[in-house]
Amino acid sequence: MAAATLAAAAAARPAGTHRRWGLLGRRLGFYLAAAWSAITLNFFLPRLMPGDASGAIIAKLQSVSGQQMTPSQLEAIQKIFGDPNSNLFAQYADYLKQLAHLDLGISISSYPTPVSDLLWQGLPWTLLLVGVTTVVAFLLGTGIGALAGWKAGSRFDTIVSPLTIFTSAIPYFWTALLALWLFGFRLGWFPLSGGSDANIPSGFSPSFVLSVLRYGALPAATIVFSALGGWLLGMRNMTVTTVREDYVLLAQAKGLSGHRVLLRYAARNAILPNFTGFALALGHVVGGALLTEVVFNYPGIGYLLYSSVQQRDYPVMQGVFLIITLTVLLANLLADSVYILLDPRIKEGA
Amino acid sequence: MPSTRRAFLVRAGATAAVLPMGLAACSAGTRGASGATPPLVFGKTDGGTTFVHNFNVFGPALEKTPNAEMIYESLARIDYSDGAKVKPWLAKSLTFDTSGTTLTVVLREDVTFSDGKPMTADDVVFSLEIPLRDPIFNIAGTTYDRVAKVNDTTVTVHWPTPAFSQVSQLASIAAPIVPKHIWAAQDLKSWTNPNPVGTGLYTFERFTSQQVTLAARSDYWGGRTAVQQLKIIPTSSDALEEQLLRGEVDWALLAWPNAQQAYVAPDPKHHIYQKYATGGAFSLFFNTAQEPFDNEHVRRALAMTVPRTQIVTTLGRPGTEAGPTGLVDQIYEKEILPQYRGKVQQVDGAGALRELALSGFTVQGGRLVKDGRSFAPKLSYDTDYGWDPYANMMIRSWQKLLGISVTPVGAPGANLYEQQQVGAFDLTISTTGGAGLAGVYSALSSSAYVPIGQKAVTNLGRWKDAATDAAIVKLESTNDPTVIQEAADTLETIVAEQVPYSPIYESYWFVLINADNWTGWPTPEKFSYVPYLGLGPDSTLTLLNMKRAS
Repeated sequence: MAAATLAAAAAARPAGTHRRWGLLGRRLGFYLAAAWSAITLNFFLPRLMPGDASGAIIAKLQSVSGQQMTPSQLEAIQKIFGDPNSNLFAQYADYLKQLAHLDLGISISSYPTPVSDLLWQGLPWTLLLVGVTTVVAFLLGTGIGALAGWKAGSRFDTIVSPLTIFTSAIPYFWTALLALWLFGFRLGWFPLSGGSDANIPSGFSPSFVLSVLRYGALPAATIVFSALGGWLLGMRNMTVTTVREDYVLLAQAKGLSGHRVLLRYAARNAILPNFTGFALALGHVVGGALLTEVVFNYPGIGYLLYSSVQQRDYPVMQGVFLIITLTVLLANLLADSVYILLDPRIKEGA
Repeated sequence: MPSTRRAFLVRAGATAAVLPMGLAACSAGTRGASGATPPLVFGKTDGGTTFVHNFNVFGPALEKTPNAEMIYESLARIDYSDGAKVKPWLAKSLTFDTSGTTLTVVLREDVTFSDGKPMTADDVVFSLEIPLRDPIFNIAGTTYDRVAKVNDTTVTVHWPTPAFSQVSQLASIAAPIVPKHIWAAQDLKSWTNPNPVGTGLYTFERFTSQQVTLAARSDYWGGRTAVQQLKIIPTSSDALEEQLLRGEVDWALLAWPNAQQAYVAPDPKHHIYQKYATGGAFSLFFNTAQEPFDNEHVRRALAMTVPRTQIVTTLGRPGTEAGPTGLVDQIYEKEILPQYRGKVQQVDGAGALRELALSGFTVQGGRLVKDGRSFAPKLSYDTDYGWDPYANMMIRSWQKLLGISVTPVGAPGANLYEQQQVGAFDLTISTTGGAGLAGVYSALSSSAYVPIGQKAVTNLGRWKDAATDAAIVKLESTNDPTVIQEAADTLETIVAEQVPYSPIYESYWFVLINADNWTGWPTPEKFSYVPYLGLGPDSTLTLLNMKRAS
C-alpha cells in the first residue's frame, strides 16, 4: 500500500509542486507588502502620538532640575534628539535608510546606547524563557488534550478538563505571585529574583548555564501552568469532534490499534487549529512576558517595551515593534508553508 | 513513527516535571561563603529589571548605571538633619561675597581620584564648566555663568544675580567633580564612560545587566569602610519584601505600608523600617489662574475640608499630616511661625461653609455658581502611585461637608505631569518642597509663571502675587538670618492663609534594612545623615560608619 501511495505521489508531483511554489511565491509577495506597511506604520504611529522625544527629555530634565530651560538648551537637545518640526518625509527616508543598514538608531532614555544593544540585552532571555515555555505548553497541552478528547467522558477527562478550565481562569500575575511566595520564599526551592546568579560571569560555563536554568525554572513553570489550559481545551474539543468522523470510524473498523487511530487519524486533523494558534504564539514570543518579568524581575523585552512607552523612547519602541511584527510575519509565513505541506486539503483552486 | 512521537511527548513531559525538582536540589544559599566579609547588597526597586552600562554622569540620558554618586562626588552636601542647609563636602569652605553673586570655593587638599591623581582646582573648573560649554549637559539646572581658578585650591563661581539660596546647585549629584585628565579627551555626548574614575569611596568593579559591583577604596579622603563590596541589584517590590525577609538584600528604599507587622515584628532587632522627612509634602494644587480657584475663600473652604488624618491613617503613616505652611516641622522647626508649628489641620466643616459664603459662590446641584456662571471642578491625580483611594476620600469629604461634587480624573504619571505643566486642571495633587526655604517657596514666584496652555516647570498652580514675589526676592538675595526669617514668615503666612496650595501629608524617604550582616545604621530619632543611597555624601557617611554584625 505504501508503495502504491508513493507511486501516485510521484505521478502527481510536477503539477502539484508547481502549484505549491506558485502559492508560496504569492504568499511571499503578500508578506513583503505586509512587512513594508508594518515598517511604515511603525514609523508614523509614534509620531502621531502627542509629545515627542526631545519634549520627553526636556520635561524630564526640567522636572529633575526644577529649572526652566533656556532657548539655547532646547536647541542643543533638539540637535541631538531630532527637531519635531523637521520634515516628516525626510525623516521617513532617513528611517528607511537606517533600517537598510540594520541600524535601529539610538535609545533616547539610555542615550547614547544603540537600540540594538538594548534589544540584545533582553532578547536571549525572552527567547529562552518564552520560547521554551511556549513550545512546552503547546506540546503538553496538545498531548493531554488529545488524550482527554479521545476518551471524552472517561475519568481522566472528567478530572482534567474541568480542572484546566479552573486553572486557566486564574489570572497569571496571581499564579506568579503565589508561586514566588510558596516555592521561592516559604519553601526556598527557587531564587526570588533575577535571570541568573549575578555573581557568576555570563558565558557558556556550566555554572552559568545551571544558574540560568535554576533562575528560569519557576518563571517558566508559571508560564506553562497558565498557558497549558488553552492548548489543552482547544485540542480536547477538536479531538472530540474528529473522533466522530467517518474516517476515524473506518480506521477503527479496520481494527487499527487505538494509539495509531488517535495519532494518525484523529489527532492529526484535530491539531490543525491548535497549530495555527501555535504559529501565532511563536510570533509573539519576542514580545516578551511583561508580567513574568515584573514579578520575577526577569530580564527581557517586555519590560524594555513597557519602559520605552512610559518614557516615550521612540527608537526603542520602534525597534521592539519592528522585531515583533517581523517575527509574527515570519511565524505566519512558516505556518502557512507548513500548512500547505501538512494539510492535503489546502490547495490552490481546490 | 507514532512510537517515537509518543516517546518524545513522554520525554518532554517527564523533563518538564522533573526539571524543577532536580534544580531545587542544587539551590544553595546565594550569600557566598560564610566567614568572609559579606558584600552589602542594595535592592533597587525603581530601575526596571536590568541596568545599562553608562557612567557618563553629565550625559543627557534618563537611564544610566545606578548610584554613580558613590563614585563621583559633588562639592557640597545638603544636611537634612540640620534644616536642609548646604554644607561643604569636597570643598573645605563655601563663602559668598556680600553681593551674593560670587562664591569662593576652597577645596580640600586630601582628595584623590581612584587612579591616584589628586583632585585640583583645574578638575573643579573643568567639571563646573561642562554645563556652561554646552547646555545639554546642564541636567543639574545650574544657573551660574562663570567659573574661575584663583589658585591650586581655590575656585570662584559667579552668578548673574544674588544666589545665596542657589548654592544647593553645587550639591547636586548631577553636578559632580570629574577628572579633567580623563574627561577632557572625550566626546561627552556619545561617551558611556565604561570604567569610571572618581573621588568617591567606591570604585567600579564589575557590571552585568542585573548587578553593579563596587569595591571600596583604601585611599579615600574620608576614611575607610568595613563594607568592602557594595552590590546593587534590580528587584521588584514584591520580590524585595521576600529578599529582605530572607536576608538576601541588606538595604532598600521602599514604602511598605504594613512593614511593622510583616517585616519588623518577626525580628525587631535586625529588621528595620525607617522614614526620614524629605522636607517636602504632597499638596493639593489649585489652578489659581482660572475661576473659581482665583477666589481665596473657595480655596480655603476646600483646604479646610481635606480629611488629612483619614488619608495618612489609610496610608499607614499616622501622624504625618502636613502643616499649613508647606514647611515640614522635622526639618524647619525653628523657621516655622509659632502659630503653625506642629499644627495638624483638622477637618472644619463649619469654618469651610463660612468661607464658601464669603466667596460669593453658592452650591447648586453640586456645582459652584456665581453671577450665572457655574463650575464643576475636577481633581486630577496620579494613578501610577495608586492615588485613587485618597482622591476619593477628599471628594467624599467635599461632597458631604460642602455639597460640591468634584469629579475624579486619574491619569498615568507622564500624562498627568503634562496636564499640570500646561495648566489643564482644576485641582491636582503634586509635590511641594525643595532644598532649603528658598527651594520650597521659589516655586510660587511669578518669574516661574506661564499662562495656561504653555508649559510651566514650577508654579504649576499659576500663582501670581506681588507680596509673594517681594518676599522671595528678599529670601534669595540675602545671607542675613533676620531678613531670611522675615521673608520666611511672610511666605508661611501667605501659604497658610491665602492657600496657593494646601499641603496634605509629608513626604518621606523610606528605608528598609536587614541588619543581619551590617550594623551601625542611623535612626530617624538620632541622625546626622540619611541612610539613603542616592544622596551621595549621606550614603558615603552611612557606609563609612558601618560595622560587621557579630
